[in-house]
Amino acid sequence: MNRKRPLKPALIAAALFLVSLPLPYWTVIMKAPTYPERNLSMRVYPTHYEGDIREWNLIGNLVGVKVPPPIPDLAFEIVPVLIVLLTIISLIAAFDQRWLAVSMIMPWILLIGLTAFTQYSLYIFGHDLDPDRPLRYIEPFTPPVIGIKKIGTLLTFHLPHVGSFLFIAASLLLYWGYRTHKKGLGKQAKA
Amino acid sequence: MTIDTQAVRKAILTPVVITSLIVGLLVGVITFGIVLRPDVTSMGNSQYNRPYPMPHQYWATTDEFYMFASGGQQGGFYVYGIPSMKYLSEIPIFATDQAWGWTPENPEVRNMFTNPWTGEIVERGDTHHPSMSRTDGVYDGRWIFINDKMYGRVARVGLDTFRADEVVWMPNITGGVHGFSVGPNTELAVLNIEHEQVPDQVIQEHLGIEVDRINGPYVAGFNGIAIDGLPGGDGTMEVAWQVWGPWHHDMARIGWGVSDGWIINTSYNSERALSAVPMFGREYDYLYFWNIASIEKAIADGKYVTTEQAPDVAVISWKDVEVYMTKIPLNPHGLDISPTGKYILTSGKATTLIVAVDMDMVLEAIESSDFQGEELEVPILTTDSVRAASMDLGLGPTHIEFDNNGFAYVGFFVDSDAKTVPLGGPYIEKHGMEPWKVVDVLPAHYSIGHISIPGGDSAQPYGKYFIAMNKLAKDTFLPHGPLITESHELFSIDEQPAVLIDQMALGPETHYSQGIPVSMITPNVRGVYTLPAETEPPRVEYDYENQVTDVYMDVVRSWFTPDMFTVPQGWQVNIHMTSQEQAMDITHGLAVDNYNVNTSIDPGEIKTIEFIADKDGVHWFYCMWFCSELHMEMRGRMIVIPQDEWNAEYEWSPS
Repeated sequence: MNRKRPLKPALIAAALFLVSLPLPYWTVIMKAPTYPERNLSMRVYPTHYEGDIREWNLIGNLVGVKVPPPIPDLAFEIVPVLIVLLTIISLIAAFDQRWLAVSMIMPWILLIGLTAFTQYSLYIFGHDLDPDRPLRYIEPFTPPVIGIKKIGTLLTFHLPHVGSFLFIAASLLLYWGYRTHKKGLGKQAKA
Repeated sequence: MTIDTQAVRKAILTPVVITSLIVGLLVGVITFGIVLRPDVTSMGNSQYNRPYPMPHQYWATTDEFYMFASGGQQGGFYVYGIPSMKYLSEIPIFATDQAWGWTPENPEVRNMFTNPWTGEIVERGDTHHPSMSRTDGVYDGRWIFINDKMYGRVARVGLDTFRADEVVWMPNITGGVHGFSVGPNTELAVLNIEHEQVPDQVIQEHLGIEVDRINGPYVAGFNGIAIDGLPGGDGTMEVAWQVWGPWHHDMARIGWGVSDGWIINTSYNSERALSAVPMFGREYDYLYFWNIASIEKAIADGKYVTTEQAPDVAVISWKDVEVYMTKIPLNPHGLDISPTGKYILTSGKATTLIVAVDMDMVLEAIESSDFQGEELEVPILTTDSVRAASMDLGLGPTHIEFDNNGFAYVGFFVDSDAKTVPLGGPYIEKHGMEPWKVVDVLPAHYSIGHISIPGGDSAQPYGKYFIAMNKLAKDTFLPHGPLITESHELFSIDEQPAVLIDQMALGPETHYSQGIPVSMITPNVRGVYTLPAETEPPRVEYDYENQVTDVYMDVVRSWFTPDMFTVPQGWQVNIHMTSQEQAMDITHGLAVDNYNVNTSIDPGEIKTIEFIADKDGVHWFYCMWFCSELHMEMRGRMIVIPQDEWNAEYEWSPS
């Protein structure tokens, strides 16, 4: 086994995980006819969320939605820890390729989990409506994690942000690293 | 039977020919009338045409200048765009305007309305002469100042919020001020006393003139207002001094360039008369040159008195300052300085004459004591030694403006037009024409008062457009009763002859207006006030000792918090409002039914209104600016309870 030279793809992946930590992972952009001067936007980071929360809630009052939706915000404490963990595992895998298989699978599990959790939050967001909301003709709804939703005249675009792309790039790098490493092992074995 | 083919032919031919002629004529008329009718939208210079269909934001992206038009009896400003001639806004200053929240129940506005000496709340005014802040004689887009003729006041308006920030009152006079002008570096402003006064005895004694209150002659002069207006200053104004003398003064300028260091003003009543006819009793009036350094020196030398009313304002006698005058055509009104400060053009309302006084020649004549006598101890500069030109141009000349190509424009009230005149001297190389002769006539509808070219009273006119502000609109627009709106007419002066390109109806009554490039204003305009990190929590507090109820109220789409409060009858109510809005154009209002209270509150604004709860009963208050789809529901109750029924249980409490 080649233990002397660290595996580059895993090293880069570790760096990408770390870099993505302070970056937004997901964003919602709202086009509203009463805000022609700018689109309202909100960005979700591993650690927090920010954006036009005040305006969002002022408009949301009418429909009965609330930002953030009433879900445990434990996610913002767990997710950064998991990303740091991924960084560490990738780093270990770069030097000790026995860890490669683990490091290759873990990000995908986290990604699926996060997507599911986001979709769940969005479901709660669109269904836990204030019973005293003024515009009761708006039925409960579920915005997609990725996609476009129209509520009345409000058009929202739900998109992964730069953090997610870095995360996915890192995951692909780990997979590629795993593959090339395995091939290398195969060649060694043949030789 | 034979057929008389001849007769038949005749019988058929005549109607056929006539019918053909008629049909042909019709076809011709229709063809020329409809098919070949000139396309109105493509006539003339196409750059002034409106696009069809009109794209959204067309004017927001194509207007070149903001126009700040004095509102006259409206008491503030009108603001519109050039060349769109689209009304944008109003800036109330001296008169109440509930739509803009300019009402005396707001203490900040009330302070501006309050006469500092009598405590009287004044809700009337008459704005005349706006003057842009400037640096090195060039507009800088920080503030615009304007005077109120009626009460003798000057206001400063911030060009970021389009709101009046400060008002100063002139002491020792009963109002009646007119000419107003800001100096080339916004360090000083001068405000002329037009209506002659019977001042405090201290002033009369200092001048050595005893004024008979019935028979005069009265005295007047001008105010010097120190402004913290050099770069970095906050624009704060302070009346620094008053120069008093035997004459009133009409228009005022503070010179720059060649005329730097001089206050130049006119008098249309050098006769010192007390009624109209004798005011044009002689053949001429005077143009005055006051040396600013000599005014400062008189103060430094202690040659001044102060009055009980204004212990900080130096009252200076005209005898203690360096002043010269020269004869100009009878009853002048216009007084304007060419861009380099060289020529002072002034017109005689009661004549057909415009004269150009050359400041270089004035300085030379002063140097060589080239005088032709004196009046009331003021030397008279020899007319021929200071005059560059005397032009006989038309009836009822009024104001003069300058463009960037070396032309002067003179408005004529009686002629109902403006005339373009090339300036002489160094300006000849700009236009290459024979100077001081009319080269173009701009017909106006009707009776020009003031005229304006963006930057036209500064060291750097921007030119391109000329606006005639006509005193009479007559038949220009649809009839609308006996009080006819004002008419502003837009000319393109990029070409000669100038072309009338738009007419605009605007509320009464514009005097002078100033245009400033859009690029100097738009980057600084504030759409939203930034809220502090922490704002007052909504609550109601009762102060039994002073009989005051303080209501801390959040205002945001679409409710007031609290939306109910109680108050004992006869107490003072202070509503401290915080607009929690941070979105552009979401202005709320607060009107109280049956209570003479109505104001507006802009996004992020923190504002107090104060009034006495003198009427008992339930009084709804509501948002008077349409703010959201639930605007009508945005209301609340003020419950006023007679004092003998009041007990502490009625106090508002959070629920």
